[in-house]
Amino acid sequence: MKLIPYNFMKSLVTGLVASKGIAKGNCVIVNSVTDFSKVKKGDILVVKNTDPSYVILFSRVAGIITEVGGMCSHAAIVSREMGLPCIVGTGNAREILKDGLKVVLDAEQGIVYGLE
Amino acid sequence: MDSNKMTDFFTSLTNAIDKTDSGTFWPGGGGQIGSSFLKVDARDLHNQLQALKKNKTASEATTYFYNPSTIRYVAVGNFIIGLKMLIRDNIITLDSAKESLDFFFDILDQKVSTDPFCLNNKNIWFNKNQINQVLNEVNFKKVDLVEQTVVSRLVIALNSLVWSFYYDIYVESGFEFHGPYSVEYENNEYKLIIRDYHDLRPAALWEKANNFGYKSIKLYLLYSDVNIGIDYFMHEFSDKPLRTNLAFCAVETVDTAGNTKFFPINEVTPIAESAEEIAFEQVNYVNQLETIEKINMGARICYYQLKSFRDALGINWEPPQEVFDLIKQKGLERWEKFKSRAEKISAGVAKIDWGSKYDLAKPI
Repeated sequence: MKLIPYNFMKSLVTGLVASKGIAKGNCVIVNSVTDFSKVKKGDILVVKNTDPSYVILFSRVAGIITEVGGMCSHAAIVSREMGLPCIVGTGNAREILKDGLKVVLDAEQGIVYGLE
Repeated sequence: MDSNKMTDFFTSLTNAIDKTDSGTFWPGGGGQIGSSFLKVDARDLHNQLQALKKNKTASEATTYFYNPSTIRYVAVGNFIIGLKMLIRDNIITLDSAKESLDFFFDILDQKVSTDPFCLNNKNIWFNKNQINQVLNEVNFKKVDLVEQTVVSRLVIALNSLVWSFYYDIYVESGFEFHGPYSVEYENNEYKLIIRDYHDLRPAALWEKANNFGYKSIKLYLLYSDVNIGIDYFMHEFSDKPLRTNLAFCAVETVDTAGNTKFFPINEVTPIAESAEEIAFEQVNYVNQLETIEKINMGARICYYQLKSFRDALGINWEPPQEVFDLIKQKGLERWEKFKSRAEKISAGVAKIDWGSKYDLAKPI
């Protein structure tokens, strides 16, 4: 599945594919529990990494991007179970992606493309 | 342990470690929590196994451990590294350490049906008869798209509850994820996975655990057309999303009064909601603890891993005061030191830490 030709979009962030799939949505940067209220249905969750308290967010988001973590990190296990596109180990996603930025999370190839 | 088995052990461990990133462990990694007291922990278990070995065979001792992953986690958590430190410090002999470890792994061998170290990415706890019994007695329900989502939410909610009570590194105290078993059901081939959340109310550790309404929950899941793997640390991985490939499911609950019930799938959402709420509160509670309190609780959770074993031997399962004294002396220093090392562990390091040919031997 390809939403639009990728060569017209800018690659912003790359990482390891933890759960395959493609999602489109607005980025929401979550640094701690105090940011949980920012998350809206269909957002792409951008975090350093997740812990079990994030359980209340997973049913709201369309995809997950983490800065650290491997194939068996918390975010990876959750996303594979729920079928959410997820890339992990991006290194600096929170620096590059901003709240509200529209992106395509291509978790087939491990790339986040900007739509703006 | 003979050399073939040792090779299996390292292959399996390396495969599992290769997929992890210890920097992401919540609320801290094994080195951060266990390094100040692992020698005491290993000494206690060593002495207890030596005593047990005089009266029981490995086969008889299997009843003291509910699930196989407890033995796997304890071995790699503190036991092997602690034994090596005890040998280095001339507290025990190499031969006696080997005896204890061999006996421990013999118990694991007896506990499982095939490979004890989850090579080939399988955690095969049940034998064919037990699986046939599951297929005959469990009331599987074919799931639709909505129910797939409901079950998926329940899985993540219960995982999160277990993670929140036992920290990332001791999860097997509350959970065994076993399979995949290749089975035939209603004339089709499936992969059976059993998620056994066997201790969801560890009130001896956390008062908050009393808020959850179920002692244990088992999920029996039949998947089609997906390759599912489980490694030494019960990490799961799959080539496709699990949710959309779930074909049949059954949810068996044991409530606080001990009543067992197969729950209709369309009625399990309140269980998931309760688990999510308690997990959320529990993680936030732990996060606001002082570091030293997190380590002290980590030590209690670590010792809780062997509660059933120590209960059976008539020994108090709680850590001895010595453990808390060591944490007071060295806990914060070790927490910080291992935090700075919290990066991907290479297979080479794994072999140095857990291998017989190497001696980690240098106290930090």
